Amino acid sequence: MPQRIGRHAAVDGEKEEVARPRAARYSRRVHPLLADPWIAAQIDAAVAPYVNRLPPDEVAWMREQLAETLAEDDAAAELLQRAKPVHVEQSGEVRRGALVTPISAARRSKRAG
Amino acid sequence: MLADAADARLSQGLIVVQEVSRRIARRLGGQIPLDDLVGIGNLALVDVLRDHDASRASFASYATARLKQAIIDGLRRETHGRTIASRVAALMASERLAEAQAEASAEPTASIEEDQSALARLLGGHAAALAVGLLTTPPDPQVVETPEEAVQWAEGAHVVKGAIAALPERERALMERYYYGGEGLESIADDLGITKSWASRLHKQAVLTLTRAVQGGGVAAQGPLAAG
Repeated sequence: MPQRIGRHAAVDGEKEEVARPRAARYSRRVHPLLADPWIAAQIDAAVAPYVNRLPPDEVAWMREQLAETLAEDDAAAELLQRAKPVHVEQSGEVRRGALVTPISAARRSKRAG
Repeated sequence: MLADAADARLSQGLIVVQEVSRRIARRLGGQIPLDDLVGIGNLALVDVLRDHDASRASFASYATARLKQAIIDGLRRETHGRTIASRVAALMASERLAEAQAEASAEPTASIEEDQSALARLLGGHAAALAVGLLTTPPDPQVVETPEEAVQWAEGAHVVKGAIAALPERERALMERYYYGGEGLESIADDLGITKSWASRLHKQAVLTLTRAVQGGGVAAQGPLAAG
């Protein structure tokens, strides 16, 4: 893979270059769903084919958009609930489905209201 | 009584305009003033109030879907040629894919593995749709910073252009004029002699086809974009 000047760590025998900060044109945020390692892994797998095809800023933006889709699209949110692996509660109860996140809790409360 | 119901729907519609506008503004990284989005949404609300059929969908879900589409569509026309245009086009493609997926009957699944596969397909499809949308427009020079990135973008754009060229005639014409020409769906539909709703269906179908082409390397002559 071709090296990108200014962004990769120096290898043996090369002069270390200082990472050049990218222009902060767009405000950056990390979607709350990306804090969940399992969800982040699914999203990373989806954007993986584009990692060396699109600029890093656009790949990062795509990650945010996929998280937003999982949070906002009803069908996607329900599929996520079903697909999230079984986990064991502290009580020992085994449960299938996504952990309750701030977003899913907000969605449920919105629907109930 | 009827006037009260109409007033209530208008009030509800204005709230939906605000919600959808805020969501789109957030997705675009704060690059578009919220008031601009609300302005587009308020104009579209007139049609939404007129067209809503209570026997087919709740007002909230109908208005949300229509306003989201109208705001992104209006934004795409207004930002044509501007640096934010690629992200607007990407959101449009992703929204179209979501609509196409919602129309397809979801098969009930028996196992968590099947649900996980379905989730991977859904995310992969949206990632491809976003990539297609991004690559139909010139890159933002502040995002594409190095010559290497510019070359990668050009290669990806070439693949997407090839995939669009391989679409059936009407879908190809619609996609080229809509994404590359910045024309509105309504005027394209008029020229093609089809209704706007049929043009919308063609658009969804084309996005679905393109995402599959990008994911599956269906444009193998140029090399599959998804090959990494």
